[in-house]
Amino acid sequence: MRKGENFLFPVTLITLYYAFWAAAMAFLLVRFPAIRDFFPVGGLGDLAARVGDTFEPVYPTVEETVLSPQGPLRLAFASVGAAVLIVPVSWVYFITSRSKEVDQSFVQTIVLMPIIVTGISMIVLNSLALAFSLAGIVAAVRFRFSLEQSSHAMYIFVAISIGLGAGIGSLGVAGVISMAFVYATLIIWKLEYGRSLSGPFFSVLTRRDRTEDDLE
Amino acid sequence: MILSRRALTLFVFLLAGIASAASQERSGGILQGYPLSADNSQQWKLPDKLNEISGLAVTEDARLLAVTDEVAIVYELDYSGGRLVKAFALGDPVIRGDFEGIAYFDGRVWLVTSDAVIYAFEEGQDGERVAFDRHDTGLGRFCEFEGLVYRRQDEALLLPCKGVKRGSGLGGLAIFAWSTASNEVLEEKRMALPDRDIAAAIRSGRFSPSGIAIAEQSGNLLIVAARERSIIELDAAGNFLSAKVLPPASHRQAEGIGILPTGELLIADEGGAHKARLAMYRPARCDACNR
Repeated sequence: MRKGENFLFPVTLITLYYAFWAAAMAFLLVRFPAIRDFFPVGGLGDLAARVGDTFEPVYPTVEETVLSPQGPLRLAFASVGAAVLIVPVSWVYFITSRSKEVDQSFVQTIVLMPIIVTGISMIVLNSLALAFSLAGIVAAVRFRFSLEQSSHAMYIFVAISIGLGAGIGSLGVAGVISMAFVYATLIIWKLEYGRSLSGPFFSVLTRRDRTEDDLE
Repeated sequence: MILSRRALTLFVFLLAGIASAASQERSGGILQGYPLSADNSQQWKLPDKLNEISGLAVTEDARLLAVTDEVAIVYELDYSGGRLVKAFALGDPVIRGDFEGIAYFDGRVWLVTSDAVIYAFEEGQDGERVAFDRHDTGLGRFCEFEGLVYRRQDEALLLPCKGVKRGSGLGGLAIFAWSTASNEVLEEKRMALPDRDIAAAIRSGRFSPSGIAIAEQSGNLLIVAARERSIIELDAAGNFLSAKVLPPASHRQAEGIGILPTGELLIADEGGAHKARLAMYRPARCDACNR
């Protein structure tokens, strides 16, 4: 059998398969129009029509805060606050870094990120459409570098959290996030938590013999 | 003795003053009962087709109708479900014009253009094109009009004058009445707007109405002005009662106003380049309800 014939057979079979089911569906819809309601077709049109004719809720209290004449000043203070709160996080990165040289671009990223996120939070306001648009833009210009250590992802998350907290006008929350991360990281670093399973506590916890080197 | 008489007179005047103030408070209307604050409101951005919203009308069964500028299409808005329920148009092809107000009563709908031409028709179904009667009130030579409401007591439509035309001979802004029974202007029902009271209350030299509504229980009129971002209340005879300034962050250009049978105040803002908005304010006290 030639190669062309091999290809033609499955394509024909698949096309016939689709055609059969399309014809069967069309026959049923024409013969029994009442079943149209139970057929999962036309959903995209319905969805589009629904979106076009629905109202989008507005959160006026948020708008009044942000669009007030004090809005830009508020954003400025929020940005400064975010920057202030991220600085100790960067120090912790210096302290706990295992290598002698730190990644400068990474440090700059985590310092600048909360400032940018603060601004984005204010821009998004209460617009769902704008939020989705921004999510798309962020996805399009996503990070092009890979994180060297998994712990670096934590710094990114903390930077985003601080930025969001400052952006929604909750510097207190952002402060708690910053402090909690800094102190927790320092404590874990000081204790060298998870480095070894030796010691009486872990022996009791894991029920292993102290002399046991590794599990089989 | 003289001193005690003076003291007594002063006391009587004081009592009279307090009584007078109390009586003004009682007859103060409903507007003061609406805190026009963000935390007392629900607001929505409306679909694109309502960007040029220019008028609101509330039906007896609490449905909300709206009209947009330029095209005679009437929309029904479900403010509780947040969606458009239906839309029907006047004529085939749909007539075009500068539509500035809509009124409703007992299945009958009226639209008004800025030059005071009234279109009367029965409420239609979704997608329907309805027949209509066209009435030129002749008031277009006096004023530019915005807003329309039906006053049941007079069987008349009220048309607030937004701006007096030059050479019309009209002394100032007024609310005209047009009888839906006889299809003629009711001169005796015309009300001059109390300019001085309004100016003093909103601290603006002018007041240009853009929408009007009636509180069914009291017959008081609520008139909103887009340009001055304010709202005033007049009693049924046209006497000034009170005024409030609309929060600018929530109201770019208030073009429509309505009061639900349950008391909530509705204000629609034209969107222009943005989306139009609908705001619903709850009455703070029960005596502000319009039941």
